[in-house]
Formats: sequence, C-alpha cells, structure tokens
Amino acid sequence: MRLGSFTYLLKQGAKNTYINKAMSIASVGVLTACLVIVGFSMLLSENIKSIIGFVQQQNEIIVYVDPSLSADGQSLLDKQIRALDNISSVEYTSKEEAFENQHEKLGELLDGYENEDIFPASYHLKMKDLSLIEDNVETISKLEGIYKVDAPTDVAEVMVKTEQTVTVAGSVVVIALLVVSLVIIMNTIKITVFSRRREINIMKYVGATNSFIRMPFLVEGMILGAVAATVSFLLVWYLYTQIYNGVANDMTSWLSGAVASLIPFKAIAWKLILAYLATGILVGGFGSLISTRKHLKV
Amino acid sequence: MICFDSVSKVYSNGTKALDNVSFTIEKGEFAFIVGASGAGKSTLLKLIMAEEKTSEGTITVNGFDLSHLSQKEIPALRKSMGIVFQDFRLIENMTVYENVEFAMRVTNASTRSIRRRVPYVLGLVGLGEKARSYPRQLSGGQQQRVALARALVNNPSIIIADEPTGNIDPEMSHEIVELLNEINHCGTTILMVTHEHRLVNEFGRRVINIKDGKLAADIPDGSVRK
Ligand SMILES: Nc1ncnc2c1ncn2[C@@H]1O[C@H](COP(=O)(O)OP(=O)(O)OP(=O)(O)O)[C@@H](O)[C@H]1O
Ligand SMILES: [Mg+2]
Repeated sequence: MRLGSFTYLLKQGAKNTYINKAMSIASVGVLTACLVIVGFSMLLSENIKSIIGFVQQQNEIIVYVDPSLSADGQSLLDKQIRALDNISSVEYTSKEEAFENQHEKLGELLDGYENEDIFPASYHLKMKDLSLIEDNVETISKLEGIYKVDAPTDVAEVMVKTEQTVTVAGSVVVIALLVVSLVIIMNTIKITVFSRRREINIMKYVGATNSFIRMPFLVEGMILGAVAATVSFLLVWYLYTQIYNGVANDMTSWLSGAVASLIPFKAIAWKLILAYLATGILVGGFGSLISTRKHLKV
Repeated sequence: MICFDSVSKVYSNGTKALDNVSFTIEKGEFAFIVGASGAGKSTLLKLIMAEEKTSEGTITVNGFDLSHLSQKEIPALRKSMGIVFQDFRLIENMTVYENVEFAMRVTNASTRSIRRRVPYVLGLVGLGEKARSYPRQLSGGQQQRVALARALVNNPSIIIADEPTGNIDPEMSHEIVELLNEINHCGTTILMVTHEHRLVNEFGRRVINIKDGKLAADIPDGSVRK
C-alpha cells in the first residue's frame, strides 16, 4: 500500500471519530466507566493488602535467652538468630536493659534487687512472611541457650487467612468486572458499527477490500481507547488523591498507624497509565475489528 | 465482456428469480434491461456484481468467472466496474469530492493522480462547483451525478446502473441517461435497468426484456412498444 493511502486511512479514522461524536462520546464514556471501576477495585485491594501487611508486621516472635548461657554461647546464638531466614528485623534487649525497663515500670517493687538475672535477655524478631511463623518458631526452639519462645501463632494464622481471602476476592471481583466491561464495550462498538453499516456497504460496492474498510475503524477504536485511558487516569488520579489525603490528614483516625502503609498515587501512576493505555487501545482496536467483521459480507 | 450462459438463480427461500437466461453483451455496447416489477432485473445485476451467486449456469464478466469467484476476488471485480443505484448510495458525512476520492483511494491511486482526476470527473458530470458540498445539500439529480462521477472515476470498462433515474424527475432523468450515453461513446460498456419506456424509446439502444425470470426479448436497436 502507498504511504498516501495509509495516511488517508489514518486520517479517515481520526475524522470519523470526530464526525460520529455522539457515538464516540458514548464509547469513551462506557470504556472510561469500566476502566475507572476496575482500576479502583485493584487499588482498593492492593491497599487492603498493604494495610494487612502493615498489621502483620506488628506481630513479632520474642525469644528469651537462657540467663545461664555463657558469653560464648550467647555470641553464637546471636549469630544464629541474625542468620535466620524470613526475619526482617532483629532487636536485642540485654539483661541489663530488660531490668532497667522493668525498673522504670515497676519502680520500688524492684528496689531490693540489683541488676540480677531475674529478667532474661531477649530478641524481638519481625517476619517478612507471617505464614512461615511456625517454621521459624520451630527452628528457634531447637537452638542452644533458648529459655522460651513467645509467638502469636494463632493470630498469625487468622491474618494469613485474611490476606489470602482478600487476594482471592479482589482478583475475582476485578476479573468479573473486566469481563462485564468487555461485554458492555463490545456491545457499544457493535452499535457504533451497526449504525454505520450503510457506509460499510457502500464501500464494498465501490470495491474496497475488507482491510481497507476496517482500517479506519481500527484507528478509531484505538483513538477512543486511548482517550478513555487518559480520562480514566485523570479521574482516578483526582479521586484517589482526594481519598488518600482525606484519610492521611485525619490524625484521629484509628487507622493512623496504617495510613503510612497506604499506597501513594505517585507509586503507581506510571503503572496505571501504561496499563490503562494498553488496555484501552487493545480493547478499542480489537473491539472494532471483531464488530466490523459481521458487516463485511456483501 | 458480459456473458450469461444458461443462468438460473433460486434464492434460499425458494424464489426462482432467474430461469435459464443466456445473452452476451459486447465491449462498448449500451443495453437497457426492462421488465415488470419482480421480473428479476435487479437479481441479474446482483449476479454481475457478485452480490449473489448463480444457482446454475456460468457468468463471465471482464474475464472473471463469477461461478468460481472467491470472496477475496470480489473487490478486484468491483474495481473493474462502476455501479450506480436508484438510491445514490453516497456517504453522508463525506463531501462530493471525498465521495469520489474514496473510490480512487480504494484502488491505491496516488494522491497526485487523485487531485487531477477527481475535479476532472466532477467537471464531466457538471458538478465542478459542488465539490465541497455534502450530499444532503444536493438535489436528487445532482446526487445521482455524484454517484455517476464515482462510478466513472476509475475508468471502468463497464457501468452497471439499477434504475438510476428512479428517484429523479423526468428532465433530470434524461440528463443522466444522456451522460451515460456520452460515456458509452468513449468506449465504456453500459448496462442499465429501467422502468421508463420513454427513455428506452428515446435513446434507441439494445433492449433486454426479462419476464418472470426468463429472457422474453432481446432487441438490438431497440424500442419497446406496449
Ligand atoms: N434476497 C432475496 N431473497 C429472496 N427473494 C428475493 C430476494 N431478492 C429478490 N427476490 C425475489 O426475486 C424476484 C426478482 O426480484 P428482483 O429484485 O430481481 O426484481 P426486479 O425485476 O428488480 O423488480 P423491481 O422492478 O421491482 O425492482 C422477486 O420475486 C423477489 O421477491
Ligand atoms: Mg429492481
């Protein structure tokens, strides 16, 4: 095909988008609504997961060291604990520090004692993946010089279950929305193409090949997809930022601790616009191709 | 140029629209096709433009064997002919110029040749001034002339017209057929379906008369008397 013919078809596509304003606006509206709803569901589910992650981080394994452990034994144990898998942070409290802490709390009750071995040294361990807590506890218990291991295994189980449920439910909702959106969008494009079947018909009688007829529709679909993607992105940007700021500025919020774990828009902006553009252009383009096929047999 | 050999057409609902029709139209001929409503005239043209397939018999048009034509070859066949309909079939949101340009774009013509050829053809049909108008801003006769320009623009060897004057007042009708006549004088084969005996008599060309799907008469220099 000549370059001239190619640019002609591109121009036709762009022109048709403009000429068929009402249909274009309807298509962009439908596609935008779908993209925004799907986008928001994904963001919501990501944020819930992030908050659960934050809450999970609050769970720690406390390892109490046997007070009679020798200094050598102590330094070996320290190395072993710091070398454990799945641990994100280790906080050590020596016997002296533990005594000081308790002294501050209990005051004179402890006056009779002087820095004796009544409080064991301890490690506070935070985990990367809470679901592995049982393994961690088992490994630690087998180490030399452990006095006691405290771990919220029951709570951990509940939280891991919650996270899994949210992940599954989120995916199901997003996939269902995507399917519904596709059906709606396909129908919208079908109506658009149907309303122009006369035009397609005429083109066939003039001797236009199918690809020649479809090309402007393809271009049109892609333009509408790109426009819808951009509009959706701006909408989500605005709405999400409003909500984010609303929650973040509410200092009395009981969530205040978790607010820090909300995902700021900047962190996902690039991913979102690229995903939207890719989805919009693909859906628009393929939608046009599929819907025009039916009307090409003359 | 156009050759029907024992052609029959039965539609899927059982209607027999054409029954064992044979005739040949040579290059450069001008033929009217006449007959009562429902006789099968449009069906005959639809077969020629490969909108419908024959049930029996063979048709050859411009070297294309229509009974063995694949879906992919149809555009090539249609590019070799110009088609004109009773209802004009112009694209509403394209200007007169763009409607004609489109037909040339379909053949992958260069932008340069399009810029030369389209105004020329619009001039031929007397619409040089209306290039920027939209179809709805034109009279029926003018719209049909745009359709004629579109049919002409690629220099087709055949022009097929199904009641091109059906929606136009008598004076304009005469002009349209006059135009077709001129085009024919330049060597283009013309096949035109019409109801108007007045026109047929006036131009005195070959007349193919279809009756109940059968070839009832084929008069070379024709006039149809009732
Ligand atoms: N697509 C179709 N399916 C079934 N029957 C059809 C179809 N098209 C036409 N027919 C039938 O075939 C016969 C011939 O129709 P055709 O349109 O060729 O007539 P015509 O001579 O063009 O009539 P008119 O002068 O009214 O335009 C008619 O009986 C018509 O009802
Ligand atoms: Mg007819």
